[in-house]
Amino acid sequence: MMSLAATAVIGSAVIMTAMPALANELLEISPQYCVVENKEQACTTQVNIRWTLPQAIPVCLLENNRTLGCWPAQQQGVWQYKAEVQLPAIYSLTHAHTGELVVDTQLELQTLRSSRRRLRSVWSFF
Amino acid sequence: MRLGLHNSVLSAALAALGCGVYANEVPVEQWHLGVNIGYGVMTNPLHGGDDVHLYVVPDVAYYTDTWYLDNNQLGYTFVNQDEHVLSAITEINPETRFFVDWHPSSVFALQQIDSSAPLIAEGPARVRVDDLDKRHWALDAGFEYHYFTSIGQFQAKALADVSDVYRGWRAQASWRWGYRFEQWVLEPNIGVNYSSREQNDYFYGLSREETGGYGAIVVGSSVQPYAKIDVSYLVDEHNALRMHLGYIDYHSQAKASPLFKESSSLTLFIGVKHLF
Repeated sequence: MMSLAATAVIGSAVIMTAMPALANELLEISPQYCVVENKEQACTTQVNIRWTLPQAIPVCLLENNRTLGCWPAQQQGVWQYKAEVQLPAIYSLTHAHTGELVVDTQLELQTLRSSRRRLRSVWSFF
Repeated sequence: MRLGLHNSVLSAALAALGCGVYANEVPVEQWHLGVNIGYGVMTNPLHGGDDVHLYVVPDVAYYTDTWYLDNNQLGYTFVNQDEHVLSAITEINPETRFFVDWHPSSVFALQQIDSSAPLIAEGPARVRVDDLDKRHWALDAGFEYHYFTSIGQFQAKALADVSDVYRGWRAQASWRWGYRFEQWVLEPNIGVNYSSREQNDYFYGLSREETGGYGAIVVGSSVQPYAKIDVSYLVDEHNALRMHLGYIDYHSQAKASPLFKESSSLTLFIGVKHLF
C-alpha cells in the first residue's frame, strides 16, 4: 500500500472574490489546492492569506466557522499559519463588529488517487 | 472525530474495511481483497436443511469509474453523484443458499401448514423432502439506487430472473448507518426484501408432483423484514476483529409453505478480518 502520509499543495496565490457587501475586496489564499491521499484525510499545510479591502474596516478571519484572528480597521492584512483542516475549507473575512460576511474563498481538495464509495457489504449475501 | 495525517492509517484501514459512512471508499482500478476468518453460522429455516457454517468469508471488490464487482454483484454505475448513485446490476439470487445442503430423509406433514392452497386429503399428507425437485441457482438483473445522507445511506433495488429459473422478480429497500468511535465501528442495517409470487412458489412452494398428487402449494408474494449489525474493532492497518449478527424474518413464507420449520433465519459470525 502506498504511503498515506503524502500531502501536497498546488497552486500559487489565486484570487477569489465572492461577496457583495464591498466592491473590489480581495482575499488571496495560497495554496489554492491541497492534495491528499484520500478524501477523508485532513490537509496539513502552511497557508498564506492576504486581503485587500476598499476601505479600512475591522475584520475577523475565519477558517470554516473557526475564528483565526481579528484586526482593527485597516485596508490590508496578511496571515500565515499551519493549517490542519478537513477539506474543502472556506476562509472568510467578516466584519469584526457586525459579523457581516465581507469576502470568502475556498481551499479545495485534490486527491492523489481517485476512489469510489463502496456500494455493497460483504454480508449482503447472508 | 476528525481525521488527520497522524491517523491516516486508521482512515485507510477503515476505508479498506468498508466500514462507516466516513470512509466507505475503495480506490478505483485496484483489487480489494480481504478475508474474514472465524466461526459463524446461518441457521437454515427449512425442514432438513443444514445450517450454513461460516469459517472463511472472502471480501472481494474491484471498482472502476463506472463498472464494479463487489461481493457477488456486478454493476455498471451510470449516475454517480454526491448523494445519488444509480447502477444497473446483476447478482446471484441468494434464495438457493438454504437448499445447498438440503438432503433430509425426514418427512413432514402438509396438514400442519396454513397454506392458502387447500389440500384435498383425508389423512395426513406427507412429503418426502428427498423427493422434491432441486432448487437451482438463479441469476438476477436489475437496478440499484443509493441515496447518501449525513445520517446513513438508503438503498433500493429491484431485480428480475434472467436465467429462466424462477421467472419472477424481487426487490429490497434498506437503510444503513455507520458509527465510529475511536477503533470501534458499528454498522447497523435494517431493511425489507420483497419476493414475487414466482420466486416464492419456485423456492418454497410445492408442485403437484412434489406433493404426490395432493395438489400444488403456492406461497404467493411476501415481504421479509431484516436487521443486521456489523461490529468491527480496528487492530491495525490490515487487521480487525469482527462480529456480525443478522436476522431475516420469513414469517409470511413460513405460514404458507410446508418447507419451513422456522419462521426466521439468524446469522452470527465472530472472527478477524484481514486485508491483503
